[in-house]
Amino acid sequence: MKRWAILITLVVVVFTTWQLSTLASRVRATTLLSDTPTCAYGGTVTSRVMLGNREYTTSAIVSHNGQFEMIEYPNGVTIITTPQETRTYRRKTREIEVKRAGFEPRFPANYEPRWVGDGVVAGQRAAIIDIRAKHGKNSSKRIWVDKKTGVILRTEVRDCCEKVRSSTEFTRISYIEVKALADSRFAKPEFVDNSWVTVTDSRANDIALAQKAVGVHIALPKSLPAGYKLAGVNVQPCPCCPDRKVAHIRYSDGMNSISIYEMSAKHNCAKSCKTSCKSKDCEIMRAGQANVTSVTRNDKNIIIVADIPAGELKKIAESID
Amino acid sequence: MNCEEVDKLIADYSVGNLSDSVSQSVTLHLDNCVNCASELARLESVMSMVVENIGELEPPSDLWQSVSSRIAQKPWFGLMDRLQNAFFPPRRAIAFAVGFAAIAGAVVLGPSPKVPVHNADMAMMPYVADHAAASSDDAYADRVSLGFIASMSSDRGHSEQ
Repeated sequence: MKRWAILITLVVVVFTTWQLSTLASRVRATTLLSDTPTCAYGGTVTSRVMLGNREYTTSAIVSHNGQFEMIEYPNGVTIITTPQETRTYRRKTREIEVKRAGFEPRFPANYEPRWVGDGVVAGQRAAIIDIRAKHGKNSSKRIWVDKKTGVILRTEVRDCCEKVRSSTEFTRISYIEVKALADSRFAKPEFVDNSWVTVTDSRANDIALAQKAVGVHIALPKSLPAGYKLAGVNVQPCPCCPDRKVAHIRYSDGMNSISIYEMSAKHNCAKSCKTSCKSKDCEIMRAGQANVTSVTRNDKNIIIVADIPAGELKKIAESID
Repeated sequence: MNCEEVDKLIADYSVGNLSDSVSQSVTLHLDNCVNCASELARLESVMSMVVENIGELEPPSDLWQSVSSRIAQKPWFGLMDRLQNAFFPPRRAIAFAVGFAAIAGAVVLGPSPKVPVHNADMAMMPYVADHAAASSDDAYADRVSLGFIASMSSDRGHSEQ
């Protein structure tokens, strides 16, 4: 009897310790993430992306003044993000693509941050935090947060099978005075002149307006993974054939997105993009962090891109009439 | 070579399985060691007895006739065996049944079968790139890699590893 009492006490102590340590790691992670960095910084990063079975890598220069961010890639693409919009400058085509900021789809209730340890990135001491979805097996993120400044020094995006699909890491970072990086520095890159063409994103955020613009009845999926909510409805040039309009319906659970592109089946865009698929069991393809599939319903072609497992993507595709 | 080493080799020595050099070493030891020589003599006498008494074994010529006649006398012999096996299955059958039940349970109660996934055709890249660009609004988004994916639609094959 005495032995049983000791054993039960031990089990209770171990369980309580485990629960307390889990709670402490959550509290610590939440505290670290709640400190939004307000400092300015600049540095070089290395980014790796898996597209299918191939790994692509690039370097980039990142500068940030607490509100505005500029990412300069060696292939001539510069992305400037402001609280209102994201502007992409493409040197090869001399085009500026403007996307207005979407809703604020941050649903912290869907995710559970957990401190898992400490590390060093670019010479800075960092806390390592895992952020996982509470529902389902969505992709998760592991971030290295600078303990002093709260800046994310490294990010890993993992798929539902824990395979790293992309990662970005500062190889060098310098913290500077916010004043040194004035907002005006983010107005446009130095090489942009008046000859550049602006492709403005017309965000409708209204399904009726989008239907009218695209000319097809927009059907929404009846099945969505838990936690996902409508994050935006755009009418934009078709990514494949820009002379056509496409409705882009976007869902987000705060950390991952589902993009549904609906367009008329009349124009041959789908054919040229090899995206036409009449069967319900369309092929599901892996591209980077996302899975992709395409279906044809009545008078429209639908392409779905999402950072979710293939089975969930299939359910979404089948639930669109 | 000492007695312990010879003791390990003596059985092979007696039937001629050792190499010439090893065999010569054993012989040299046996010539000078009474104990090992007597051990060899004992072993050889046992071996000769075995060989003499075993001979060549053959089944009796009437074996099959006796078996077939016993089967003919008991028409229910095979059926009874089967029934007995049915009610008292051997261990293998039980193990097989348990294994089958486990697999069936896993199929019925386990996760749904995986949907096959293939690598995306580059034709899909414009949509993936657009999705990546739109996803940079998400919390803790890796905007550098998302921007890289978005930029790849206009600059395919950049810096491939």
